[in-house]
Amino acid sequence: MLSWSRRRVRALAGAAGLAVVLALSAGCTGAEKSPDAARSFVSEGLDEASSAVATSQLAVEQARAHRSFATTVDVTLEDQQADLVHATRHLAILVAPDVTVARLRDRALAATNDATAAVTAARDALAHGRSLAAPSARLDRAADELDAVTGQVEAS
Amino acid sequence: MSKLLGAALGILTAIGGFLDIGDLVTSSVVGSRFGLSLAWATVLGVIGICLFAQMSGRVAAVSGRATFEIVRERLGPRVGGANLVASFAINLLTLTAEVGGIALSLQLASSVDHRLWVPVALVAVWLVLWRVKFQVLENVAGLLGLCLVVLAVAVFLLGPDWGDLAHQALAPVVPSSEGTAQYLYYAVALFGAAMTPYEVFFFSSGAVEEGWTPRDLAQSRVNVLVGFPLGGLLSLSIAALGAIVLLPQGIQTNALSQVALPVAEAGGKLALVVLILGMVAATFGAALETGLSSGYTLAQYFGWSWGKKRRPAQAARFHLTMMISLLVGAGILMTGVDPVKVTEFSVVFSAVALPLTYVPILLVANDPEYMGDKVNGRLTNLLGSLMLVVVVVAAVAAIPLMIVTGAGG
Repeated sequence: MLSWSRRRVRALAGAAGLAVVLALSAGCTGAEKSPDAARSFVSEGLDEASSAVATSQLAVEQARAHRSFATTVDVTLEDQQADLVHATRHLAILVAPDVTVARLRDRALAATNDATAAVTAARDALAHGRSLAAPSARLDRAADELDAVTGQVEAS
Repeated sequence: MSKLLGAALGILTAIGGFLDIGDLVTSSVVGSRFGLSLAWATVLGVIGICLFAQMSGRVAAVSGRATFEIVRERLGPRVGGANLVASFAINLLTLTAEVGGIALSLQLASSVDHRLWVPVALVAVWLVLWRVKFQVLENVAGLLGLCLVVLAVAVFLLGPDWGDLAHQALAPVVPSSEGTAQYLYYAVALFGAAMTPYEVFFFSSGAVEEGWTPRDLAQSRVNVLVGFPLGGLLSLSIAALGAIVLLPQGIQTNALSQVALPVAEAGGKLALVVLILGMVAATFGAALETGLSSGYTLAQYFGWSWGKKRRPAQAARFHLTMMISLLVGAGILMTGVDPVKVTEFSVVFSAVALPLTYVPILLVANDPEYMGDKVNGRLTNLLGSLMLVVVVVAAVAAIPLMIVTGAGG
């Protein structure tokens, strides 16, 4: 009974060792994708960022039209900041398979960073009771930039 | 006259108590991504919960015993025990999501981080469970939950293209931007959200708490068959708001704050106040129901003294279970986990556990030893069996779809 248990323990240890080796080998190449998969990966990040910017635009417009409360708009913008940070991280971890995808990823990263800054500026203006006209225009530009990069990814 | 008032109150609380955080989040996510093309899944879920809730209410009224007492006796301790473990775990996850929903709703009103609201919600829920009588807590939460009627009002205020909405709902197609797997995953999530098991535990245990007899069956049938479908309409209204306001702007819901945007767009600050009040009431009411359900399931299985009609000292283990469940739920939320993610997982895992809840109810409702001449009729059995097929398909498909889509994608 005891030797059977030892055999079982050894088999389990062997299986665990193999799993670790496989996981480590997978880790060496895990971030690199085929060009098509990489473009799709960039698109996912851009979609998330575009949704966050569109949400922020709507929330800011509601604040400007006095259709919502500053507290509610602030929570909405904070949620969108978290989404933009997530989208930025999503793009940043991509190891590009070629120079074309690398350029697209870098433009997408720049666009999501601009978008994050635009939402942050809107929160600042809201918190200090300043006019939301400038942050609103900045959000519009961030949305245009994200659309432009999305168009490039789709065309490539 | 008092009977009429009682019936009206029952229907109103059924409407107000129908929605919880699972419905609020899932319906909005679905509306913003699929429009009304998944309305059929909500309708199917409402039909299912109507069928089984009235069945479990009838079992409680006729036998004078709640679901889990009979499940253990009818299926034996092993099968009953497996049922208990799954149901208790899903209920705990749902309780966690509901407490998170209270905190997120209060954050919307205050801009104070939801984690600071979690302990407040925990204490408030526990105090109500400890001190307030069953009927009072059921009626007050249900009536305040009626504020969510503002969701349906908002749809009208936005003046949508009704023909387009009807076309989306009646001729459903998978949007080109989404895959079939994603579509089916959210169909299962909507179905799970409508048929969450705690609703049945609460309904049948509540019937025992309120001392229903066979004479109350007509009233309970009206509450379920009128109240729940009207509650389901509110669920469809959330999806419609997503389809009208969010989908055209490319907004995908992944936070509770986005659920409020279409309502503010339609009705401004006043509608927003009513919505936030309704969200707090709906999630608070559901937290009470899931909190009670955690005590009900465990106490009924082990044969402990249970119920709000008894003083806490007379049902100590029942109250202790509720208290520990609340503490565990709040502890999970304090780790910083996103309450919306907890909600999304809770509705899908609810779908996985559905057969464990609904198969025993169908068996007991057909057992003349418990039910006498009040066993299911042919039509109820036919519909119940068909629904059970859907329930099993949803339960089997839920986890594979979750893996394939990366939890919805």
